[in-house]
Parts: sequence; C-alpha cells; structure tokens
Amino acid sequence: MLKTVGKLLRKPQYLALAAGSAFLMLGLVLWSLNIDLLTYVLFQSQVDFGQKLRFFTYVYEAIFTDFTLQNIAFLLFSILFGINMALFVYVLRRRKSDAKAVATSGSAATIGMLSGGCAACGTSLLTPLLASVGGVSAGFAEQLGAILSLLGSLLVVYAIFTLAEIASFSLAQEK
Amino acid sequence: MTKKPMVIIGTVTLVILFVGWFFIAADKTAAPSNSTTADSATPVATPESQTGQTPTDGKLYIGNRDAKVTIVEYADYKCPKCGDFHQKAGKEIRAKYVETGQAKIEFRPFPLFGEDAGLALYGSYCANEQGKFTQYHDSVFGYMWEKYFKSGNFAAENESTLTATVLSGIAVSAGLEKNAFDTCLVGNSHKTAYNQAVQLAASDSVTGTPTFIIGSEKVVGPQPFNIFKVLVDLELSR
Repeated sequence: MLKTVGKLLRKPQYLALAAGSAFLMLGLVLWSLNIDLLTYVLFQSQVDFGQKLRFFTYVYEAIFTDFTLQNIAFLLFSILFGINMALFVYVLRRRKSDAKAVATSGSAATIGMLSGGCAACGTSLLTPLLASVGGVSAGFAEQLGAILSLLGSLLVVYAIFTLAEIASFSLAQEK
Repeated sequence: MTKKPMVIIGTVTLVILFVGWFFIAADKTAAPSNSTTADSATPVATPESQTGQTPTDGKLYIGNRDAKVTIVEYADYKCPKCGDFHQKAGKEIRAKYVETGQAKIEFRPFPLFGEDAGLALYGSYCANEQGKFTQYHDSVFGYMWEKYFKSGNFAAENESTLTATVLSGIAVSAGLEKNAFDTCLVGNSHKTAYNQAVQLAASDSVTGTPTFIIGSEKVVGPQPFNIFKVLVDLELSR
C-alpha cells in the first residue's frame, strides 16, 4: 500500500490533488461550526477580495501553533483524506472503482466533519445528539472531536488500502 | 449489472447526505439580541429566580462602556475552550481594541458545567457591584487555567471546583472586599439581572461556549484573533 501511494504521489498532479484536498477538508472541519460567518464574510461583507481569501485561511492558524490532541487528529485525518482523494481520482480515471472504498471514504468524510468543535462545551455539531443521551457531561466528551477524527482516519486508511490494491497494477505498468 | 452505476449512486447519495447534514446541523446566525424574552432553552444550573433588587444596568462589561463596538461573549468559567480563548485571542483583542477604547466586551453568563459554574458566574455580578468585574473575571479564568486546564485536566469541568470558599479566595486575590462579596454571593440582589442575561442566550440561539456576537454575526468557539479582527474592523468602519 505504501509503495503504491508513494508512486502515485510522485506524480505532480496527484500530489497537488492530495495536498489541495487535505487543505480543503481541514478547512471544512475547522469552519464547520461557523459556516454562516464564512458565508457572510466571503459573499456579503464589504471586505476586499484579498482579505476574503485570507479570512478563509485564518482558521488554520491554531492548527500549526497549538499542538493539542484534537488539532493533531484533525491534521492527520485531513492528510489521509487527501491521499484517499488522489487514489480515488486515479482509480476513477482508469474506469475502475470499488463501492466499498467509495462508501468508506464518504463515511470517513462525514465522521471527520462532525469532529470539529468541543462536544463538552456545546460547540459541536454533535451536541444535540449528545445532549439527548446525557453525553455532554461524560468524561470523554471533551476529547470527542479527537476521537472522531481518529476514527475517521481509520476509515480513510481502510479506503486507501482498498483503492491502493486496485491502483497498484496500473501504477506498476506505468513508467 | 456493472458496479459503475452503484458507485455513482453511492457517491451521490453520500454527498447529498453529507451536504444535507451539514446545512441542517450547522447553527444558523441569529440577529443579536438585546431582548429579555427567552425562546425555549432552559439554562443549566440557573439559580432560582426570586424577587430582588434589579440593578439599573445589570450588564457586565470589560472596557469602556461607550466604546463603539460591542463584542458579546457567552461563556462559562469552567469551560476549557473559554479559558483557551482568554489565554490567546482574548488577550490580543483586549490589547488591540478594548484597551484602546475601540471595543468593549459584554460578558454574558452561560452556565454549562454544574451548579458551581452558575455560582461563579453569579459572582461576576457581585464583583461588578464593587466595580471590579474585570479583575474577578480574569482571576477566575486564570485560576481554572493554571490549576486545571493548562495541564490538560479537563475532568475539572465536571467536578465541583468553584465552590463558594474557592470563589471567596479568588475574589480577595482580585482585590474585592471579602465580606461584601460573600454576602452578595449567597443573596438574591442580582438574580434578576443574572437570569435575564442567561435567557438572552436562547434569543441569540447560543448552544455552547464560548460563543461571540459581533454586530450581526456569531462566532462559535475559540477562533484565532484574525477572525475577530475582521469583524471588529468591519464594525468600526460602519
């Protein structure tokens, strides 16, 4: 699997796709609780265009300065998701596919999206669900974001494994 | 039957579910509320509402009350993410905007983590009575950060950490007069103002802490300083 991924990422277009997908997924996770704010600033406010572009990137600041378990988990999940997207596109372009890998990737993305925020503090997409089962006060609630990101990462690894198996034959034949 | 249609259908279904969940679950921005009408949510650990004296203002401010921009903050002293905000972006906001008189922070209690959280938040009004709300606010957040959250002890949020005795000690260290604070803490003189502030959270569709409202926009969670900067600058330019 690692050899296949390595071969694929040596192709500049797939490396760019992986990096771009990782960047976007991380942004989505971090912006998940403030989508209305992002929409307002990008599409309605009087802020100039350059500032609007920078505004989207501000949310990344904490990830690269504050190395908490949750932030590391977000980063890991996003990088794996990027690799998964690159493999997925490669496999799709060769008109091959695997329903399991697609379903797993989609599930992983959904779980990853839910990992943003702080479940214990009520600032999480999962808060309504947790509150209904009295889970907000559970000891693990504080780290639920990290747990979900890691779970999403495991699912993505499975999807990568599945797609890499499909891609390995084609990649082996290419120079 | 080939797998291709299944893959396409599966992918499209997942994307639709994903996007649908995203937009259904995301908090919608509420217009900032200055009303005292509660919609539905019952706050956790609210002291019993009893008839008492109503302060003329009843609001808790950090900074100049006449500052142009108001940053409304819903917080709980026992919330680790609130503490995180005050250690990082909060300090930058105060240095750049509050201390220069351009903005003020209107602190509103949102008790989440038990009865003692409500007590600590109520103590804010007792500190305000002595003109030392900012000192009390900084001391309580500082206490929780240094003693628990800095070392990753998040279990503290579910324990009874801010007892009346602890709060009394914190108040004294913040320069408050002990007897007056202790008497106020167990009294009812600020219950109306406290309950009114808590109920504003429902009007503003606040579900967790920290949540901020700047102008008509809501910011959820301890976001980096630059995000607040854009919003405050927008408000200053109006």
